[in-house]
Amino acid sequence: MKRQKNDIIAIINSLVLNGKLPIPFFNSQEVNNDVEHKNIQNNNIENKYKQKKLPEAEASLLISKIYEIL
Amino acid sequence: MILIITTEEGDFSHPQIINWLIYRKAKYIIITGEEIVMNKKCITIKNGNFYYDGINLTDEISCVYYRRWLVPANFRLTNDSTLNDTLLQNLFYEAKEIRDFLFSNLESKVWIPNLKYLSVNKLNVLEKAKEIGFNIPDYIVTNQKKELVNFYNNYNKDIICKAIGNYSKIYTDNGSIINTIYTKTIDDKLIKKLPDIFFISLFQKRITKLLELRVLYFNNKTYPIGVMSQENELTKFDSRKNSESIESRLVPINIPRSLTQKINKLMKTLNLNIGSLDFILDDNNDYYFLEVNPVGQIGGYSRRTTYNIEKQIIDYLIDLDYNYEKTKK
Repeated sequence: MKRQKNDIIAIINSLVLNGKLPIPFFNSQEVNNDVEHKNIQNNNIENKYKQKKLPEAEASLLISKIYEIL
Repeated sequence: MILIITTEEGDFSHPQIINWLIYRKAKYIIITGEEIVMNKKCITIKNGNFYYDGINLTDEISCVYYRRWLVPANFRLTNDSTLNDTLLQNLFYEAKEIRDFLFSNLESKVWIPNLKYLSVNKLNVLEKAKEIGFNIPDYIVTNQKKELVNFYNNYNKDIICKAIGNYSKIYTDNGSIINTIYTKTIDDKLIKKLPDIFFISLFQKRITKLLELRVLYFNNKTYPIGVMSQENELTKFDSRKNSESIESRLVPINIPRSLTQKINKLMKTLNLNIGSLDFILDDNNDYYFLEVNPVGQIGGYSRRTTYNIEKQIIDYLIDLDYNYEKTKK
């Protein structure tokens, strides 16, 4: 996997040096797939946030969590 | 009723906003781009009204909080990848038409951020900021090596390059993800390798950082935050470079009144009612304006500094909604 990533960065670098991509693309950073997937999972909005309304009991529980953080 | 336009993909600010809406028992509805492309909701447009799951948004909505509009890029309708891509393209165009109509249908409502200014041109903003009196890092946008070399030498070979707008992550067929967003330094070695004409890029004089600041702004109020990126080697050059173990500390700070006044003036000039502004405090104690993001993520900053801006936003929206309902009656 490491080798594949290095190959991709080499391709991008070559495109930059041939004037096909902007300079900030040079030596871009590879992102660890496992960490990235974990972040995406963590960021997924839970179903309750997609609902129009929550049961009031749950709402008070949620708001108490906010106060805990603060 | 308050309309929240966001994404199912994940957004840190969104749950905090929803939590406050629930707590205040507000009337609200959430719409996402994904729902429309995936055909998850009942939508009808008739007689100039936009009905969403049976609710007449044109009539019911008093104000809109817009976070982002995304469509799912990688779902499969068929195994033929070319057919799949072109079908999706058509779906996205159709969804965009629906979105554009929805936005224009609701344009008389109060939007956060302002509907007409959901995105800004970064170069234009830099120029406006300069006119208002902010320090900005000297910059050049060019595709010519000779111009770059002159700029590089003028600033003692201490320059950086970054995106003119915003780059997104790059995905490859084998699942790799390449992140291009970080600011890069320019050195002799790279310049030597560049062709005489390269792809047009933005170069800036590097400002020596004493402190990085993010100032959140909402309805004429500023919430300044010190980003303690200089405490870690990894984040010294670009605070966005963090790992699971290293994350820059965020602390509420005070800024000079003159800076606050300039921020208010800039946001008014740009017609922005919300946004996050990035600054650098250099080693001469001068503040340098870098950029403003009109729909920036506020959640993490708001929570970690206890500014709790989501509450201010929701209080404002609820007041608007209350007055709207009162006028209707």
